[in-house]
Amino acid sequence: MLEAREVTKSFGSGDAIVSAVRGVTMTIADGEFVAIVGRSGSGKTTLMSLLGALERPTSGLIFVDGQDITQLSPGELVRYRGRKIGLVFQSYNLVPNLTSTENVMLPMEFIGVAMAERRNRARQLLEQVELTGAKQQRKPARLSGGEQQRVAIARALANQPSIVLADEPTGNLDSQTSSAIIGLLRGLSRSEGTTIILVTHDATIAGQADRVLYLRDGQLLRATRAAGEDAR
Amino acid sequence: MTAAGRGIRNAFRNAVRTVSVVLILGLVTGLSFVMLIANHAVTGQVATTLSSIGNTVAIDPPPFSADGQPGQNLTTAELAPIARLPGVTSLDETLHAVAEPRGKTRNAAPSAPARTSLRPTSSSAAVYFCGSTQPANPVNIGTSTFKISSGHAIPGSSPAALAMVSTAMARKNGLKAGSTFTAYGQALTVAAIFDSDSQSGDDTVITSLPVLERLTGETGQVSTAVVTVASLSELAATTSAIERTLGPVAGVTSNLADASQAIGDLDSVQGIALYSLAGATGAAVVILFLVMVMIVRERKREIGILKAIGASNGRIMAQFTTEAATFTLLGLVVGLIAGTVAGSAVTSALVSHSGASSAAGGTGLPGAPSPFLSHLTDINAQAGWGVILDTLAAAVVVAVLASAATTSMIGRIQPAEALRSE
Repeated sequence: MLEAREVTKSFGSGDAIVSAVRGVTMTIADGEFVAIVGRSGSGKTTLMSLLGALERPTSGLIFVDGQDITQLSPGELVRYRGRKIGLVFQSYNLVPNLTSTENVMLPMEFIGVAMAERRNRARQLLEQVELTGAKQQRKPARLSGGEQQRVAIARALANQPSIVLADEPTGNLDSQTSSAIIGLLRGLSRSEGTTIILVTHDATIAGQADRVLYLRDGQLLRATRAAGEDAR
Repeated sequence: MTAAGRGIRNAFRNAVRTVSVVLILGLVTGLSFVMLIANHAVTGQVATTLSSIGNTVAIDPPPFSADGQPGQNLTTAELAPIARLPGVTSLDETLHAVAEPRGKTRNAAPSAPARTSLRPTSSSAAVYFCGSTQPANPVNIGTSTFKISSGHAIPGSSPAALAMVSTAMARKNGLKAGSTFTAYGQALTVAAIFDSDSQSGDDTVITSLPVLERLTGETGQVSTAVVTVASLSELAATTSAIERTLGPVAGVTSNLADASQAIGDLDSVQGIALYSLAGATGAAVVILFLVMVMIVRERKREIGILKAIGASNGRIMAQFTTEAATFTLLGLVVGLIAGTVAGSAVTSALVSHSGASSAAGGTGLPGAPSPFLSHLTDINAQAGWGVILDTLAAAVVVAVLASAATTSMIGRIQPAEALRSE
């Protein structure tokens, strides 16, 4: 379970302090598929980076499976990100001079998985996201946007994380491919029990989530069930 | 793939940049390599020169006395205090004499030279005699080698009428060890036959000093003396002490002054080589550092991504260090090739433009150079394994320093960069 308590993140100093996230409190259950919706500049990405332990909050607490990740040492944060978190980015963020398989193998290398094992698992994951054959040995530049995002999802799942954070994962994709990618994430949530937290400004995409959290000016306004039921 | 594997692959990520960086590093490494070659070559030459000087001091009578008369021989009495000076390990006193060979029409004048039954090996009009306290010293007869081929060397203090003759002299006169011949009206027995490598050596008969003194009647006379000093470092002080002791009655010479001048010039070449080496190594560090800074800034987002998906700072630093090491290694290969081609020419140019060349007589200026300095500028600049290993060590230092400077940049990059740059 992921729980945020009065989480705030401010940038700058003196009079120019800007709070990107202001007092966010929320709870997300294991295996839940949650969408965070908000306009540009509403603090979605900052909230995402706080939940993914990519940076520390200015104040507040974040518990993941009962552990306060805001108190972790730098080394523990590296291990936490490597084992607990999977990240999917809008522009894929694959390493350009590595093949699809090598990109998926990367997170496994960081937690010390043996070479043969990580190669096998990378192949399985790529097949799971329907990237097969020669495409597994292609570099990102020779894959379509949708294929690159599939590789990114396979990479996010490499270490069997308990939480996958996806920041606008369909932002650069056409509607058909977007639908397939969201279907893939939702399927993972169902089959693997992985918690999916999806940032989007697309209401259609958000509508496919179990729950939608609305963010404005860094504050959580309300939460709704996908069917439109007010959850708060 | 490992961090090192990614580092090596990343070094070839941008072909144009890779070629440019490798060429620049190659030139700088080549310069370092050439300077190391020059430094090693000059160091070796200085050591060889110093060892060839020999820790000896020559003492000769002045050619003319104060009143313009021909200089007189030294005496054993005058030289006696020299043997007691600090640092002096031995004193070799030598008396030279000349005798007319057999068959030559005798000169009836009272001052005519004495006769000998020997014939010289060449067209020389005389046979030379050398009586020495160290009869086996090749310097006494102007030869660089002295090897006894039969018989036994004579002791320098023996009064026995023994002599040593050259192989050429023995052949010319039908002598062998145990044969006798006459000189100055007395019979001498051939104790040994020796090989020499000079005409003067071949034409000289060697005896002990007391024997030649007795033959010539010049008791207590010494034509020249050679002092051996305990070590090269004591040579200057001992030479000064000998000059003070003998005063104007003798000329005292060692090769130290000439050698000091020439070696001082070679030292300046060494200095240039070392400063150039340090400069080239520093330039390589700066070039590689700037390249790595550029690369790290360019891949800031990628570093953020690697951190976001669980890479530690150490692993990322290892990747970039490997990339820097790959550039350095490639530059090293280019530099070694360039340095090997240019090393000898550059070293020769450096030496020929230094004063060492003139000290060795290399500029063609009047005046004969000292024999031991004649090869001073014949420097054999070669890239030995020692030089290659030194260059490799310098390259490792360059790679480590350049990549170490970028590690703080890598450490400061936050994983959130991966999201912020979206």
